[in-house]
Amino acid sequence: MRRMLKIGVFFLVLGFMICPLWAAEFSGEDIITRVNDLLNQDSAFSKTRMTIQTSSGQDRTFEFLTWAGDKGEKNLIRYTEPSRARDQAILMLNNADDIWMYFPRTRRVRKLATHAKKQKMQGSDYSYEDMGSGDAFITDFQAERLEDEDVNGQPCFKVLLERKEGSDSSYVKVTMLVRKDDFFPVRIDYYDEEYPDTLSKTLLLEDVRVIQGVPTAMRMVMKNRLDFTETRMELLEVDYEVNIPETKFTERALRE
Amino acid sequence: MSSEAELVTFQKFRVFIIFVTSLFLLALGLFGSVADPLYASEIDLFGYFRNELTAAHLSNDANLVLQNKLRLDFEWDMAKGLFLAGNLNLIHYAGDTKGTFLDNMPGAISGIVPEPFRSFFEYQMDNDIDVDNLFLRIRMPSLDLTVGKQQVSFGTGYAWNPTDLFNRKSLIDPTEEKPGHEALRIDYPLSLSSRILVILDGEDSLEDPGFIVRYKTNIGHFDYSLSYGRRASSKTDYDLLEVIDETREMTGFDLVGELFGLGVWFEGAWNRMEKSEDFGEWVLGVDYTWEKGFYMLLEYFHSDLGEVSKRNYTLNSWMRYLAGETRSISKDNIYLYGNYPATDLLNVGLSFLHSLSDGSVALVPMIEYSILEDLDLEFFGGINLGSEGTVYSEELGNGMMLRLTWYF
Repeated sequence: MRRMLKIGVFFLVLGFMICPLWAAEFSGEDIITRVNDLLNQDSAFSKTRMTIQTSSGQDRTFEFLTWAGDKGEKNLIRYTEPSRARDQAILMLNNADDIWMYFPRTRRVRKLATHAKKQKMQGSDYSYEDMGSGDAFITDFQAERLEDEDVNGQPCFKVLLERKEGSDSSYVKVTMLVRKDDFFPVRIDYYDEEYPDTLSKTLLLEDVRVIQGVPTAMRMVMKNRLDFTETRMELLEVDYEVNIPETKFTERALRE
Repeated sequence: MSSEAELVTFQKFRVFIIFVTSLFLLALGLFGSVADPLYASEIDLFGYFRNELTAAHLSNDANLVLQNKLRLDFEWDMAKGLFLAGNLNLIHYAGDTKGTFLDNMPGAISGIVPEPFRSFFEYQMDNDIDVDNLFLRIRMPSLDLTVGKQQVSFGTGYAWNPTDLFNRKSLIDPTEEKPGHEALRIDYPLSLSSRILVILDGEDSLEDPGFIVRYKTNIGHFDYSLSYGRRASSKTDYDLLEVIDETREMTGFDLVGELFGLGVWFEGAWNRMEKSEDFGEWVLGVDYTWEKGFYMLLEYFHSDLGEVSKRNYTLNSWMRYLAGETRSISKDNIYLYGNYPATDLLNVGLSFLHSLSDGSVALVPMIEYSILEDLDLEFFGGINLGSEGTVYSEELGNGMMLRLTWYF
């Protein structure tokens, strides 16, 4: 038994010694690839409550269902609350390069160009780009690792993402703090095109729980640093083992 | 309400009850045959109450109309693949509910109508109970079947839709909901990105029903549609005060997609008419969203039915437009729209309507404010700036609309 304990302590000490070396070997691209894999599961269904704290101090609350497929390449979002937004739906395919919107008032589907990604989601601090761009952190940005930082006592990688030439992302650069132990991002800072040196928005990923083996932020807060507003998203339900058929991501499903 | 109006309302209500009962029994029959006992069905009730004040200033005369509208919607997922939905509109008017179309056209044109015939151009807004939509949708693995009174609208245009044989949009608010039509609709998906849509029009004669067939597909970042349809059409000769009933045969094409980062769309239709002259109409549009959400849309509309100059405008061209028989008075038109989310609760917008044929311009400022979670206030203005005799002539006066909507 004492021998087993000694072996255990040996591997623990070895682990602590190796871990910094192992972490030091990760490039910005490696880290962002791991983050991307974590955030974009094969499929996911979630029910989310979004609360907008407006500049006038009033709250506006929305609830919506999201189905995501093919590692976040396909997304369908359908609002369930409040009444005025009920049944509005948006389908984003090819990492939001193709967008269709369903308007229940006229029961019509309209295809939107990718610039529509820049529009605010129901007036919130999230844009549609923030919600459904799949692997945009890899395809649209060049990653560079910066000096590590601690967030709430947790060691984190810090990665700078700079927009690649030809990308249509609204953000000129993004910095991300990623937990070293599970590659989960805890803070993302966005800098937009208009004021590239001024922090535009900060996304805080909080209350991280492991659900079906996947670290998941049950609460996300987007703080708008320019308008002094914030939008909180709370996950009410999430399922990563859901089987979503391909037909869910079609115009027919959008009109359901 | 007059006794005649009450009779009409009663008859409408009786038709509504018969229709609802028939549809309900049909749905129950189908429900019994396909219902999954484990399927939990529930009826959702929702809708809105709208209070709308419209004010117009016409040649030293102010005109005020107040409309109260209650829209009651229901949706019932009766069983897996079986869906019943509909809405009832209760509309009440107050204020200047009587008017004449002649006040909405230039004096040089309305002045030619002899006094004995002027009453023909009068209208009245009556209180109404209307089953706006009531339909049953059956979702099968291979197709969707929708039967009953339903909204039927399509096309890629924002302010004008040449391929839409059922509706004409308002340039003040092109996104406004459209009235329901009796129809049988079949949506048949061919693949994940293409489908065939067939609509049989229940409002045409049963011996020779109108129809539309529409094929839609997606290639690259574009959606393409081909349409072919035939429907009864009415055209009124306002000089002779007679109605010409004929058949309209439409062949259309539309696309929507992205070019150089801009949203672009085209929608065109060629119409073969049974008695009157054939005509073509098309729309070309472009839009873009800037950083901070500033959105702009530009649309160009051409109609062979329109006139090339204000000198060609007649009583017929004005009345056919006001009665919804044509989409524009002038041949070539521009619609420019900008929208900006000024705050998280306030949207401001401006539409610029321009007739290229007569050079006139109208401005439609808009403000949308979210007062409470489900309570919206909207303002629309209407400012005519054109010269005498034009489509947007100053002599037609200005107007505004204030709309308070509570969604429940």
